Amino acid sequence: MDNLKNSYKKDLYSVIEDIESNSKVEIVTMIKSQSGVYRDISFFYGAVILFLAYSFFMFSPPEFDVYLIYFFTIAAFVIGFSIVEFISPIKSILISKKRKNKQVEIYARAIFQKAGIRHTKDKIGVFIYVSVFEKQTYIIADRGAEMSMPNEDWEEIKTKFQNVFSTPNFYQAVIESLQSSKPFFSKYLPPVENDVNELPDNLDVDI
Amino acid sequence: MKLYKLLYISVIALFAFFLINSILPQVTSARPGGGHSYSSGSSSSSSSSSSSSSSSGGGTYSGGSSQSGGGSGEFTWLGMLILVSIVAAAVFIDKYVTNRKEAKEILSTPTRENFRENTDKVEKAIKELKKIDPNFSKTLFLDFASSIYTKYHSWYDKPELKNLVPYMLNVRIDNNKDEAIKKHIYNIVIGSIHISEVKLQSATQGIVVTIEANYSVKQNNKRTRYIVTEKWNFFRDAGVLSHEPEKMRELSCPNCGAAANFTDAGVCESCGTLIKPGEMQWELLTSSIQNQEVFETGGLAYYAPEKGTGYETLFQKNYKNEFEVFAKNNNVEFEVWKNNFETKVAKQYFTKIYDAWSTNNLNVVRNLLTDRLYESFDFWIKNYKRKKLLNKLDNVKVYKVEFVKVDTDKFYESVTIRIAASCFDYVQNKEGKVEGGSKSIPRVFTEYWTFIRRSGVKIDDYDYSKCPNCGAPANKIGQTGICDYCDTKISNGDFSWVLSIITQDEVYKG
Ligand SMILES: [Zn+2]
Ligand SMILES: [Zn+2]
Repeated sequence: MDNLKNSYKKDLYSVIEDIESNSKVEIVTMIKSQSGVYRDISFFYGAVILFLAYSFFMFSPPEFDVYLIYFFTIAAFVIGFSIVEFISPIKSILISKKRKNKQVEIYARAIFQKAGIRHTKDKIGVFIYVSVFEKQTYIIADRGAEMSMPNEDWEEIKTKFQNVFSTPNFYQAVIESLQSSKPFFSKYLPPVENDVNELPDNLDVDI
Repeated sequence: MKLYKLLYISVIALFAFFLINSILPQVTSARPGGGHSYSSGSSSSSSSSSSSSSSSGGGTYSGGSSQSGGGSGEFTWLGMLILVSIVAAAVFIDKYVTNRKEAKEILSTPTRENFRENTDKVEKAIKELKKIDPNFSKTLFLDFASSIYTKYHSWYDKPELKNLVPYMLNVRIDNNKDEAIKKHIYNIVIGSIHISEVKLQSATQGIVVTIEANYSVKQNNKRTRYIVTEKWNFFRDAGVLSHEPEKMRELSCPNCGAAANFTDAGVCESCGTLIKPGEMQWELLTSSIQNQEVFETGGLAYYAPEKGTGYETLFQKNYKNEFEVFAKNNNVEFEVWKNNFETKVAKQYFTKIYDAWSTNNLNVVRNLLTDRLYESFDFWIKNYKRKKLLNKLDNVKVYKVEFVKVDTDKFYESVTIRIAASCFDYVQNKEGKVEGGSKSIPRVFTEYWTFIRRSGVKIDDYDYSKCPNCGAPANKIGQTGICDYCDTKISNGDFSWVLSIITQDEVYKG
């Protein structure tokens, strides 16, 4: 498992290295399993089920033992909470798209800031953030990078990355999307002689 | 299958079991409009054996009257089990959710493998460079870069900064007229320096150096110490040849060799030549700070867990062959030389240096260290002393020495070994109380040590208590590495090996 992750990381970095040797852009890519915890959703649905179970015990015709009521309402909460908390597709449906998008944006911006991607002299840092649970990609291009390319082309790159979620091999698709955006970067942000990678190798993304 | 999934499933299974087990009889025994649960308490009192349990558990079973007393006891037991399971589940969910908070992530930073590939690329490029410029020496280049780095910072607020005009494209003296907020930089210590990129282009050649350093800044009479990682990007015109060691080590006019003394425009005061950046010598094009933080001495007794000890040894490509060539150049049998170096140089240096560190007394090994390594050791020792601490390294045992890399150029030879060792590593205060580390559990670790020696020098080992040049006691070798008796610098490796770099496993890149 770790080996697989390592070899993927190596490939990911190699692709970016390749892009950067043909362009002055400085790309950082991050794939994160989720951008938020959304535990309130699980608590909320746990509480709903608890309420339903409690109502059932209270008002249904048969008489129930107090222990049964006590344990079952607690159990109902745990089950309701767990179903939402641990079964991602269910959780995903229950959270509004707007909230998910907002969460991804907040997270991406926070990392862009914390990792110091804006610390390039010509403002040519580009952060590609892929959040798996939310099925969202968020790309932040620093001022210099953003202005160097027509918006239409940025949109095309963004679409490429958004499409990774509808492919069978998601991880490979991220790498392929990077590869296919290479021409954009080398065209609009051509390499300069004696250019140095300004961003550090060990980015601090702990937030 | 992960443990948490198993746990989760077993909790759910328990619930399901309980559900089926209890709901079925419940439905059959439920009495519409019947008495509440406590009313059935009388039925359990009939079975005297379970009366206490039923009173404390309170009519456990509404339909209990139709069941035996034993059934009610069983139910209480099950109830407790459920309660425990719920608590366990809650604890576990909490733990799992916390784990999830540090959600899995993949960040496009280089892996060890990427670093390894980069090292190979750099080494290959240096080989190319040596073909074009036979005078090029990695050791000397890094000395040159260090010297520019140190001079730039120490001259930051001084008129001498103009002497760097031939070596830097954008020298800017801190012309702040307000003395109070003017920055004065001092105590510059380079912790590590290595070449991270070599660019051989048609018109220019570039070398990027990564420097980890720390220095103090005095501003408004307040002192701050910073730890920084910087990238310095040097370049020169293609076709320029490297200078000999003396001109690389000391800042001097690349034309006439006189000590650096230039006008603001970059004209040598001695020979009157205008030295344009990059035309005769490496020149700093750009620099960028990668990381910076304020240095605090509070962490001196803190021990981070040893990392990378289990890593595979990183050998240079074709290292066996490279060592054979090295041995041939020195007219020695490799195996014989290797055994001698291991016992009489590597292990000796290792124990001597560890002992010196242990007693806060670096002077006794001054002849074994290069200036840069000495200065960086000295920095830490001074900090321990200031805090009245001692970093003891007792019972040092060397298990294994592997020869991993050898590098030869016109002026220098360097040999890198990986040493596996153990010792009791702890920090104690003035009263002898241990403040960090352990006196009883040995720390097992490995480190990469790089030694350098001037090419052509054949001496490997000598009496380390004596000056390798004049044979006088090695007790008067000051900070500068110059023997007071013969007035000769011995920390450059001109007479025998000097230890130049120590790298931890997790950062060694080949
Ligand atoms: Zn001159
Ligand atoms: Zn001497």
